[in-house]
Amino acid sequence: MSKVVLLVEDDEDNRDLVSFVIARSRMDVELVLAENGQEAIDKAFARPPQLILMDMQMPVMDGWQAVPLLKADDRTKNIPIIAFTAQAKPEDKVRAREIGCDEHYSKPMDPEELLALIRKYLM
Amino acid sequence: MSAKTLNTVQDLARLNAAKEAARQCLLAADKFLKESQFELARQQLEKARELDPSNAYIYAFQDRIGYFEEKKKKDVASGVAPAPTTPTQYTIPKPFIKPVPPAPVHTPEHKAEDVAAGSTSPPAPASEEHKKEEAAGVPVQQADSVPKEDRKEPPPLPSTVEESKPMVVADSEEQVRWRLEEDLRKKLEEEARLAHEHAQKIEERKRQEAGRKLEDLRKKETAERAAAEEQKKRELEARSAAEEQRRRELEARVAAEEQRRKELEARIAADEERRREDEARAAEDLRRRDLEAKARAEEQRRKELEGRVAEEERKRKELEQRIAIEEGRRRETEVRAAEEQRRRELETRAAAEEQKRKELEARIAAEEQRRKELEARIAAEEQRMREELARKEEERRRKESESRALAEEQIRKGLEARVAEEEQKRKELEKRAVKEELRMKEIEAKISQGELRRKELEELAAAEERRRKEFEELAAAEERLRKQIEEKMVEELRRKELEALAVEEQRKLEDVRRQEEGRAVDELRRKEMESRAAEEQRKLEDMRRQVEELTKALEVEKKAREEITRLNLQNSVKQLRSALEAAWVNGAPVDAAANALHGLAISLEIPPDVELSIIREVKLDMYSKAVKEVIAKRKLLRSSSSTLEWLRKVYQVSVAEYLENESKFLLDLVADQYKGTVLLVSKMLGTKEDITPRLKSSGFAVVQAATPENALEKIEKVNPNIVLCDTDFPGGLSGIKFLHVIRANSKFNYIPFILVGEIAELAQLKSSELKPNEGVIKRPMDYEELTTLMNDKLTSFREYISSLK
Repeated sequence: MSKVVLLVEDDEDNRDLVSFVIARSRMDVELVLAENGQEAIDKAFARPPQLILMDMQMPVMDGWQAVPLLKADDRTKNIPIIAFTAQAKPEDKVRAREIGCDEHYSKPMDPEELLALIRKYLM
Repeated sequence: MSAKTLNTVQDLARLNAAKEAARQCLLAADKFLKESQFELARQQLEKARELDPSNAYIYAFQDRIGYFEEKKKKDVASGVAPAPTTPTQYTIPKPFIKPVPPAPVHTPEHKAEDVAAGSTSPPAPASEEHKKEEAAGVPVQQADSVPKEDRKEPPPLPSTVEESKPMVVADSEEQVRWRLEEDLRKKLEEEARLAHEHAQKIEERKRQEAGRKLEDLRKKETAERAAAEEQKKRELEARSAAEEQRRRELEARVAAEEQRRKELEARIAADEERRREDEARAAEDLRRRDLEAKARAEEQRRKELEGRVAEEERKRKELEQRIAIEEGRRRETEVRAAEEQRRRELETRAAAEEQKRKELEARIAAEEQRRKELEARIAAEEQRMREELARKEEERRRKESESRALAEEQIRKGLEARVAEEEQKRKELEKRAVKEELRMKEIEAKISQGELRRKELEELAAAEERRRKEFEELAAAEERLRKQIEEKMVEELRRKELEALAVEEQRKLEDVRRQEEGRAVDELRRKEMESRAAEEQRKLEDMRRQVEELTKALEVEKKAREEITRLNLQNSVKQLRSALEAAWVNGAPVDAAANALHGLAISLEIPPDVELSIIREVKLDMYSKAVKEVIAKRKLLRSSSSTLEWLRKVYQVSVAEYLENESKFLLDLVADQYKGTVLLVSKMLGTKEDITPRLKSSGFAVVQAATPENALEKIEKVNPNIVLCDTDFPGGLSGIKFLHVIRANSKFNYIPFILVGEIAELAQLKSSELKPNEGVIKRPMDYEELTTLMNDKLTSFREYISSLK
């Protein structure tokens, strides 16, 4: 059975790129897309994924708000979350860890690195 | 009803009388019937009907008369004497004989039966009729008379018993008995009436009873029916439950069937598809086989034709040979004619030779004459020569004498001058004279010798002449002999020739004759052969044409076949290609999918090399598309090159294949991406602060140098478009010093140079010192600012380069 990965990303190009990379990974992964934190929470509660890739800067509800909510709910608290940030500052990494993110990944992305990270949490 | 009948007792008496009369008539009719007097019997019957129309016996008698009449007629027709008929014994119901009327029965029904039986013997139909009336509840005929009604009353069972009894012919005794019975009957009628009433009452009671029973029955029946209904309902419910169950099962089965049907349909569709393909393939195969068979047949035919052509060719060659032989023969004949001609010419030439010979003889004679003349001339010449010699000698001597005399005179004169000397000289002269004399003598001797020699010569000439003559004679003889021999030979030759000619002529004549014949035949044959050859040639041409046509048709077929094969292959390739594209869209397919695709290729009959080539094409195509997508999103990627490398692995594109198609993959990328080569001199290489990836993704080729010294080594080889240098390099050349080194070198001092450093470091460098190609940027570095600065410097650098050109 395919594993569900929830990608929370407001930028369409980034969403496409992650889809492109995952599609070529040979992993049995179903990618669920959300454009902001609120949508991510709704989707994660409705159908808990095995992994969440969360962009931290988003409209409506950003990752900084959404991750604590996800980590606070029983249905989603054990789901690993990888925080995506652009031009990561060291304090962002620390903060991401603090709010419950399991990993931090700074954009721009590298396909092989990204896939290795996803595999690490799915396998 | 019964009251009415009882009220008219008179009527009853009249009726009884009429019935009696009718009965009498019937008896008479019976009698007549036994005597076969059918007409009289019928009259009696009519009379009886008039008297008592209700007597059912009349109808019975009518039937009987009809029956016996028919039978008699049959007997008469079959010639059998009609046997004395005793039909009544079998057919006519005997009047009920009751010797003693039985005591009134206990039940009124029985009484009524007895009465009825005693009155007449009513037939079954009457009782049937009565029964009907009884069932209807309205006995219509009771309105007429009671007795009649009574007679009709008896129940059917006794009546049938009575009917089965044979009827004994009534006689007067019986009539007496009947009358007694009649009295009795009258008595009984009253009883019967009472019985009837009673019976009616009983009937009523019975009816009520029956009604009650019926009601009970109905109730019971209703209850039963209700129970049955209940039962039925339950059964129905059970049945409906079962039905429901069955319906559900059926539905499940229907669903299963539907599923199966769909599967079957799918399978059928697949089968159909396969069948169609098979059919198409079979048709193709068939067509191909047909074509092949046709081709084979054509080939066979072509071979046969070729064989025939070869045969014809051979025949034609034979004919040609024969024609050549004929031609040779003709030529021989012509040669022979030419020889004849030559012979004639030879003869002419021989005649000419003869002529010439004669001319030669004449010339020889002339020559002889000339020779003689020459001899004469020689002789004359000799004579003249001799004379000349003598004259010359004389002259010489004279001259000598004269010279000598002169000399002597001179000497004498000298001597005369000198006496002694002259004497001496005279002596010498004398001596000399003696010598001269001697010489003279010698000369004379010589002259005589010459004379002698001349004579000898003359003799020799004469001998020669003789010999010549002899020779001439011999020659003449020889000539004569030769001529004779020649003549003989010529004669012989001529004779032989003539003989040979004669033979030859004969032969020739024969030959000519034969040849003429042969020639005529040959001519005929030749013509025939020529015509045959022409015919054969024509046939040959036809065949060749046919062969050509067939070859053309074959070619057309072959082309069509090739076209079909090509189209099939194209379709198959298209199918495989689309399947491959679907499988390869996200990279190399897994083994199972690859095997399935290979299976598809095999089923589509695609050759392995074509399959491989399509796979490769699709793979490179898909890879190329993916590369384009990646390039479009390069800004989001850390490294375009590593992403391309990853894609290369995903699509299993080998380095060789990549290099082969590099231009195709990267042309667009390179064309609008390459901005120039950056020599990055930085102590941050390999750290997070390393800007190499970002520079690369911005379209720069980056050459790294960890220190300014290293950069100096590389700069000449790399020939960068821009140098990006940190300021602080602990323990070595600083960035600013490196800049000074570069400035000092005319080879590099025009290359854009950007220093990156802390404000404090940069402060060492006065901004006024900066040249137009130089720039500074402070840390922490803003990448956007950096790229803007780099682009500015590059633009001015390019402008500067252009201005140089």
